[in-house]
Amino acid sequence: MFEWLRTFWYGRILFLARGDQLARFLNQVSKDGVILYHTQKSERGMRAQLTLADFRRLRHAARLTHTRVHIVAKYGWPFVAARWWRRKGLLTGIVVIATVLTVLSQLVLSISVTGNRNLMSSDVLARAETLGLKTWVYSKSLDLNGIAKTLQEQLPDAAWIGVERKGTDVIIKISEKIRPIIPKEAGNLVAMHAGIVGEIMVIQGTPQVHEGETVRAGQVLITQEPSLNPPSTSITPNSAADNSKPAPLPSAARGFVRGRVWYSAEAKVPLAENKVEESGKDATGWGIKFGSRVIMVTTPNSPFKQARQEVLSHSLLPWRNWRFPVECIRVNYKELRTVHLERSVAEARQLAEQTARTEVQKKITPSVPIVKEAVKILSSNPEAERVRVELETYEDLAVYANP
Amino acid sequence: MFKKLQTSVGDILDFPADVVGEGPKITITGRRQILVENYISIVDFSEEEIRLETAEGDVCFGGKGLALKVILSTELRIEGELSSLSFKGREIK
Repeated sequence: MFEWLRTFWYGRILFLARGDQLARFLNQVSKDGVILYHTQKSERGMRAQLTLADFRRLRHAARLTHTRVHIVAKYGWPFVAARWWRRKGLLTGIVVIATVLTVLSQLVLSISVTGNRNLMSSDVLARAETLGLKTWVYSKSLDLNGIAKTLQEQLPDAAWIGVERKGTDVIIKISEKIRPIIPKEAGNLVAMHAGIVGEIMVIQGTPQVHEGETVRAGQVLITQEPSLNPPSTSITPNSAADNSKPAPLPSAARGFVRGRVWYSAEAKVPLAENKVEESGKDATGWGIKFGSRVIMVTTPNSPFKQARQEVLSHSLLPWRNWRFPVECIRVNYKELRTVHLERSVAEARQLAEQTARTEVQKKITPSVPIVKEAVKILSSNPEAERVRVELETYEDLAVYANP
Repeated sequence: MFKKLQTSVGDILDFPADVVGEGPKITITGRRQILVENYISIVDFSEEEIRLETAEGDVCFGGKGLALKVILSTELRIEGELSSLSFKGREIK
């Protein structure tokens, strides 16, 4: 490898020597300190190689022995460099393109919003722009976590916001709060869950609950400002569409209502059960997929009696709307076995608690703090253990009702 | 006289032959690689035969597809299918 690199770096010349005194020529060349490589005699003369630096030193030996030297081929970096140096325009173009691509790849070229249903993408993008997230800015200088946090604070309907950079694309991922559908309460803040109100702060509108009050899901917490117009001219979607100058809608209620909310989940784990699980053994098969037809090259069938199959498709990168029709597929066969599990009461209880906790965590909005946790054992059945996990959180209850 | 003295001293001090003598050192690896050190000049060469002049006479390598892989002033590397090796010229005294 290093020898090859050295050869390439210094450059090699392949030449053909013709004459009657080739042996004498070789002796003279070696006496002159020139190193020859791959010297071989053929019908046309003698072929040999030497480094570019030594080529001029052949002249003395050639003149002494009346040998004619013809260059057959040139190989190596000095010749490549000389060829490129003659094409300065092309070289400059490549450097310019590489520079432009390098610079452009450091910028934010597109911003997209995903996961939003009720939140307007344009609104999210406008807010992101005020925080510095806009196109043609240096992407490494952006504090994406800070922007995500600020956006989440600005958009109360978003349960979670994440900002991710993929090359030159920035994706704002939104997970919206699930809002209760109450058409007549549009514009009002209603309770997302049942709970006990701990604190209430009204920015705009009229509070309908007080601290310490128990509220149920969907109950109105803060109502919007009443319309100044008489009730007869109140705006409905139809009248708004008919009227060319609709009256201004009353501004929506704004504020926070935080309170204690309880979540619970139950899980039941039997003390003895038959379970199918992976044994750890696996086998891989390779095949070719052409359209809907699959031809397996290796391991066409699962070598195990009971197995789970995973098919992974490897296709060449698509170009615009064209895809290479042939794909390479890999099938992983994972052996399954039936295991009879016997658990002690403590083990079953622990597993049930773990399962119930996982279930209850799914119901809670991420980043909501858990205030209290209780684990209750409900079991009176000798064959199974039932456990209930109850979590108490302190979170924002108020959300806008879906019209 | 000097050569004789050199040989005697070399024998007494147990020096290797390539250090004491003037003859060539030939290393053959398998049938395809030959390294010749301490040669004087190339007398003749072709794909079938390579003849070198040494202090001990001419060394002749016979074979097929012989090529001089590297030529240095005191060292020569030959590659090809070697079939024979012979010395010609001077006799050992």
